Amino acid sequence: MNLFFFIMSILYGILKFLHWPLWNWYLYGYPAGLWIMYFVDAIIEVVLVFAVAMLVVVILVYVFRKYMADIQNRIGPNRLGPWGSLQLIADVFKLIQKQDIIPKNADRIAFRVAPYIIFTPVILGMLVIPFGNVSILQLMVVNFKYTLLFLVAAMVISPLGEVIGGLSSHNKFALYGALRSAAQDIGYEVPMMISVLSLIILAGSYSINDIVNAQKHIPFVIPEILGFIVFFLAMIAKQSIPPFDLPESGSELVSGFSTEYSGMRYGIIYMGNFGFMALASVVVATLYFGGPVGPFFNSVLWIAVKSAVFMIIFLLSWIALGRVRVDQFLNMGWKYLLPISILNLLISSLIAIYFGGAF
Amino acid sequence: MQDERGPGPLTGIAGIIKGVWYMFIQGFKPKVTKQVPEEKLEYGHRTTGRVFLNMDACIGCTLCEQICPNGTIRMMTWAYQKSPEFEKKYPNKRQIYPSVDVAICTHCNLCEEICPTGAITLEAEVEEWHMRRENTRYTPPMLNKKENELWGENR
Amino acid sequence: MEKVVEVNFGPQHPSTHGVLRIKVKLDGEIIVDAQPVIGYLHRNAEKLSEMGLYPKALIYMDRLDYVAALNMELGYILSVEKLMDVETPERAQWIRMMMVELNRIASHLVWLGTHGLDMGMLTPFFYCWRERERVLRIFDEITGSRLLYNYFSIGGVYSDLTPKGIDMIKEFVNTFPDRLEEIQSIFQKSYIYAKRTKGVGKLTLDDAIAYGVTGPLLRASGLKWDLRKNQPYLFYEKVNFDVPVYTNGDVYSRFLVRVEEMRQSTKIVKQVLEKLPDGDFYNKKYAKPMLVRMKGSGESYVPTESPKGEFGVYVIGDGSTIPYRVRIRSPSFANLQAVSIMLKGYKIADLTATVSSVDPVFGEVDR
Repeated sequence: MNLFFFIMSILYGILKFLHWPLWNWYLYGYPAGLWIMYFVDAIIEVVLVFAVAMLVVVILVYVFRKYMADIQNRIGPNRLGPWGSLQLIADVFKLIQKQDIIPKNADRIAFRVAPYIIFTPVILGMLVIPFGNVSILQLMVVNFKYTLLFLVAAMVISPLGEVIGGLSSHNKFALYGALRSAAQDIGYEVPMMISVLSLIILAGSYSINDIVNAQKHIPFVIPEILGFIVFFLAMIAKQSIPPFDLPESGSELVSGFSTEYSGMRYGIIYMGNFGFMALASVVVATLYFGGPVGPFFNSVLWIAVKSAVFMIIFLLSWIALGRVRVDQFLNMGWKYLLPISILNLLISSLIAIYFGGAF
Repeated sequence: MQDERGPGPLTGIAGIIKGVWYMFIQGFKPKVTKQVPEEKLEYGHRTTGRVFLNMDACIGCTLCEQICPNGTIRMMTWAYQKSPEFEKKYPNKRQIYPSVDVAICTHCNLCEEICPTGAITLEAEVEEWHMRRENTRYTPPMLNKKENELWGENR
Repeated sequence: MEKVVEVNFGPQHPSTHGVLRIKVKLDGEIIVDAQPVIGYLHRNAEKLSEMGLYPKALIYMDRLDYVAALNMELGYILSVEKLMDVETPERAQWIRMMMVELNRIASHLVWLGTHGLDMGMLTPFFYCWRERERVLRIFDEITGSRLLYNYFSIGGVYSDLTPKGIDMIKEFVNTFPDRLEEIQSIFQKSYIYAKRTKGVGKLTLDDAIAYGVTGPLLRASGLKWDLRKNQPYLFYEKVNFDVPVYTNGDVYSRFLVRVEEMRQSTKIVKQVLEKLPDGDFYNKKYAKPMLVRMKGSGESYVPTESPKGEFGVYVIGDGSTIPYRVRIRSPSFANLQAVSIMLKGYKIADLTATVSSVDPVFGEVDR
């Protein structure tokens, strides 16, 4: 955990520096101690975003367990705390006190690093999303000209963690899980990026803040309904949620790439899964539905409502649907999603040429 | 008979959405699970549980020992004074009564079926767990009592 | 460098239906060879039955196929009654038929729930268990136990039906077909399930007959063979029901066959409820002290149709109260042999689909 915080702070500090044009450094009379202040400020913002993300993950796990029990006609956890709300804390305590088992022939350093690689994109993604304004405070951590590229780049890191984790455990089931994760990653990355590209063409800039502001009159889901379908399916695939949960197929391979992970390492992968679900629903709500921009007023309330609706949709998809086979999934990705996203790109280019001034 | 070909792409995707909608509706129906141990499930009147022995009615014919499949019941000599009218109706001259090892008994009802006087029965006493390791071979007077009387409420 | 990797889908696995071990040779994701290894649940039912009296062996027969226990008892009881020439009264035969069909519904509901789990769907499992709970409550009311009954005896059944039990059966039969329709539509009309199971695990008719496969697998491959119609044993010729037959022989056809069988079983139970005569429910000559003195000589075998296939017990008696040889013909043992040819050339994801469509229960395979 110390390693994790340290790396995160460095990344954040670097991002904060991008705020400021570099020539400020060399101005004479610039107080020398002030850039340490920016570093401390960066660390405080790291901790704050981390805490908020953990809170959202805790609430999401509780909602998931209670909602799944609801659909299956049974009562979920209801022993600890009022209506079972402290169950996750008890589970975390149980996982922390377990023995840390690393297989004898496994690659020790890669085995330890892999869960953190899966968990990092959650925090990195939460940085760049504009959550709206609360009086004069802007609830957006970082804002520069290329935040959308940064978001996509951060989301691409997580399958790499799955592959490293699966390959470094000395286990045949984990090997198959890692191979499937690589196959799934190849299948949907390209259509996702092409559909994001059409968003950039419509809005005219790479910054998420500008995309959100460009949806003042009409949310982007209406001109780009095809792109929305492609992006929605790609988001389901990226979170490893049924129907596309091939890397961690519960009943075929024993547990996919995370077979040899036990105790708190498994806890980190689990929290990463749920954190990614929160991040994905917020991203879809922001990019296609407008985020904090609403019909009468802009506020944090709109993005909370929209992302809650998408969280329920993702949870329903997890609970109710079965699993597809690997070759059928690659089939769908290359033969159907890719042409649809290219068609979407053409349509949005035509709209941008003819209605150039509206957005 | 149903169509063996299965759904095509369009009806298939409509089927997926209909399945998800059906499960979404199920979320609003009442729950069907009971919280044990606060609410107890009511047992039917024929539920077979532990073996119970009515020592006044036993005649010591050893038929239950012969029919028991895995040797759970063994007869043991036990001096027991019956009241005179029971002694006239069901005499037990050799003073032998069955003893049962409740850890091995499979509740198969064969001893209840074969007993000529109906002395050995299976009642609905299904909670047979203990927290301590006790002797599980019950002597004939112990077979007459329920678990709560023998070991107390929290055992 | 070898291209073929050998993986062991071991006895402990989240999705094999019991303790099955399959040694699979994989080339990428394609299965080159698959050999099942059994024997992890051997409990010696045959030898133990040969050490005691005839009624004592019933508890071992119960525990062979524990989800459909009454069918196992029926196979043994019919063989022993033919051996000793025991007359059973009519009411007992009708009651036996109704209980056996209810148990067939319970067994197929277990199969449907676990099949959904193998495909990755978590919720139909709970819906199927909810329906099965109603059947188990009927059994608790009438026989006294929920899972392992010991209800049949040589010469009849152990106890009569209660009025409350008959009401519960009527209510179950009236409401079950609608629920079954809803649960079936989750699987049948879903594109994901159809793409996952059509064309997978194909078994041609010649291979099925060569390996001795019976039950829903044979009916899904094209042959109309049901022991209740071809060699009727209880009063099956007096009720009318259909036998579902399909021709493809893949996992989707087996799913359709089993769901249709559940519907036909409810039809049978409804007709038996109307036609139930009055009378004794057991043969009074073969009760109480006669249980320890029953003798039999000769040999007999009566095949019955259990939910998994053809089940029968071959009994040889030598004139004393203890049987000389009890041999159990279990259907899952023969069906499991066909797994190795059903899997050649398919992918890993098809392995769980195929094995769960064969529906093995390992109490029966290993006896």
